[in-house]
Amino acid sequence: MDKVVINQLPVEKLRGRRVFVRIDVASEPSSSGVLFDESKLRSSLPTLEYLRGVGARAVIGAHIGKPGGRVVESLRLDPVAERLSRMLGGPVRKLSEAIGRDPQGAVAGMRDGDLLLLENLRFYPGEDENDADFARELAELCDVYCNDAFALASLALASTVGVTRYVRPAAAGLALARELMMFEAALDQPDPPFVGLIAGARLEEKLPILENLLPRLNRLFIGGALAFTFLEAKRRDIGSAPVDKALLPLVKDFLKKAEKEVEVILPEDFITVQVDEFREYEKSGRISPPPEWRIELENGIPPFYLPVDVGPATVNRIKGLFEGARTILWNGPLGVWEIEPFGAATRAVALLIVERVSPRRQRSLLCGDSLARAIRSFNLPVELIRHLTTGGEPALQLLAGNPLPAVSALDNELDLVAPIETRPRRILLPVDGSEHSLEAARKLGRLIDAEGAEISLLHVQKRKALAVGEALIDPETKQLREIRRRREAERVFDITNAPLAQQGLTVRQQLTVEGDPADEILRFADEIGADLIVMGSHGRTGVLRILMGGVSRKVLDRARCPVLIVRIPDRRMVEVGMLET
Amino acid sequence: MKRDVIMTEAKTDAIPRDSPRILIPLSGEADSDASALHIAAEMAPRDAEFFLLHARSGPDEERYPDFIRASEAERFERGVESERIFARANSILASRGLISAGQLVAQGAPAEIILRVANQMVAELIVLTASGPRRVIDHATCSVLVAGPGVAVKLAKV
Repeated sequence: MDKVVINQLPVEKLRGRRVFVRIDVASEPSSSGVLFDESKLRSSLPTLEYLRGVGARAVIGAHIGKPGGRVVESLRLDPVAERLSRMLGGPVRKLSEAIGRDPQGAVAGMRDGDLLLLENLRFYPGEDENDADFARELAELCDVYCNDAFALASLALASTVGVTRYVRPAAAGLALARELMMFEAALDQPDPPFVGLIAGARLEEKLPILENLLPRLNRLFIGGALAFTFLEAKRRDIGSAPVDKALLPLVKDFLKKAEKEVEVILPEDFITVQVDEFREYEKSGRISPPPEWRIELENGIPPFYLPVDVGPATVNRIKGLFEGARTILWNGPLGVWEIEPFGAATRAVALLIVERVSPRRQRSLLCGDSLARAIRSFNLPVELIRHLTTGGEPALQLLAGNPLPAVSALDNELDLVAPIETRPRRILLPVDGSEHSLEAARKLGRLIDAEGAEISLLHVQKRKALAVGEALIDPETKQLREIRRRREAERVFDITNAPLAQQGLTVRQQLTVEGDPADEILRFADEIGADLIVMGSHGRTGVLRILMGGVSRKVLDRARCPVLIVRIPDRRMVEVGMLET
Repeated sequence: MKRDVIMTEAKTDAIPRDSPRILIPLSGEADSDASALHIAAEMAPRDAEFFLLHARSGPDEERYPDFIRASEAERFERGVESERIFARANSILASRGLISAGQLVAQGAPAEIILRVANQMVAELIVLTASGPRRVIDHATCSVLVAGPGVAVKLAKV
């Protein structure tokens, strides 16, 4: 993994330093308050314990529920602090705010090894909006940033993405790092044979995953509701099973493509119920589920029968697949596990993993929210499973080959070895006193982060061709011309400086040269090591179409730094008489 | 995985709003997209709103809605492709602590789409790389930030 992990930072970078740790506290509202998923809270304990051990001052950020950017009394984090204190065997102080003077004071008063929990971050609208100001306020509470919330990694929150703009180093917590490494191991260097078991519903989410996994897998089992569309594509009789007709062509394509690369295995028998009885059961909320019938696919599932789980022959097949496998990836439950008897296959396969995997140097990776919920509901020793992920959506994104914003936001190990140069930005603003170049000066601060930048103004005057007899002009006339030239430059600088000053921007140097404007601009940009050249240019709509200036064009073509072309809106061009309506 | 794409409603007012809207057209060509995103993240003011536009080349569906009708499977596949492009883009923005304020997909001639969308959403700035459509640089009514051909983007955090 190329991201820096919190325990890779030298201890002296942590001891006595304020470390912001974003953790995930999965929660569900309940009649008696809020229920936590302790397993998620527990996953962050190693990071918190580590920080306490090295004498860091951990400022913990978390949220529960969806308060929608305002304070909701029942969603305060006091119970989280209480639970954390108990789990860590030491006090975790809880604040009633997350930003502002109180938290700042409380953080300033922390001692080495202290833990402090900020109030629910989602009480602030800036959290979900990744608001820069909110992120900056969080950043003010810390010297080091640490993200330990894998389940939130697909979101760009102020506390997972925005804050990293203002804090360095930004490291992964131990739980997040473990998750990422598990996925990396399975997806990037899988130990073959690699067996994928992709099930569950929502074909539209799983298709990109299947595509991404195809070149990596040796065998692929497709189960759950997903399998129905695949079986339909193979023209099997699947009774009343729901099929995603719209995606059928893609599924056919996929199967054709897969043929060459991997063995695709589909369920061979199903546990089914009669559709009417199932609907009736769902509607009435009766306790006993409808009677089930095991049907082998070979015989075809009759109409009005709905498959609700895969059958024992299929489980046996999966068992066979697992026997030879070194890497197993499982996503999505195999049946309607929420209704007790129909979770049988999912449970049986989970049991296979628990029993077989650990002793046999197999690596397994189980992911997806509903699979995780199913497995937890079976009361199996989940701690034996290596590895049951804590994140649903981020796991799907990783399986589909997509990067996670909150992970991208962290520093790479290499960044920390070679510190990045942070000199002020150098901006070259060629000026000629025209409305265009003035507009560039006016808009600079709005279009570019020019705060603290070193701005150089360059006024290029075209060298006039020597007229006949020019050389004979007396020195006095020459001097006069030189004075006029300088005055003109001064006037141009003055009118340019005014709008820049209004934006709080200061000019570092102003220069006048003679020559070809584009050549001089390019030469000067190289000379000062410009990070940006800013040039005014006219708008392009309206009746009067003026070609883009030759100078801008030449600079654009040859510049070795970015070029900002500032346009005057047509409306303004009319106002200043530069465009006829 | 979200598959809906946020379309901004057409705005006709040209009054600058509080935060400048910056349009970053993406072609799907990874290096060039990355370069535009890095420059945008590096240069843009802190309060800027970034809008990503996947300008996919193909028949212009907005102009000729009656003639061109993609199948649902085709749409789905496109959606997946755009989503990948956005995921990559957002990840680059996130590496600078930023996110996009909106994501748009349109099909047609890329330059036309970019100019149309920039106008509709009243973008104040379009960020392009040197390989971006020249027509956009020439015809945009808003400002354009262009990475020259020889630009090596520094990956510094601000």
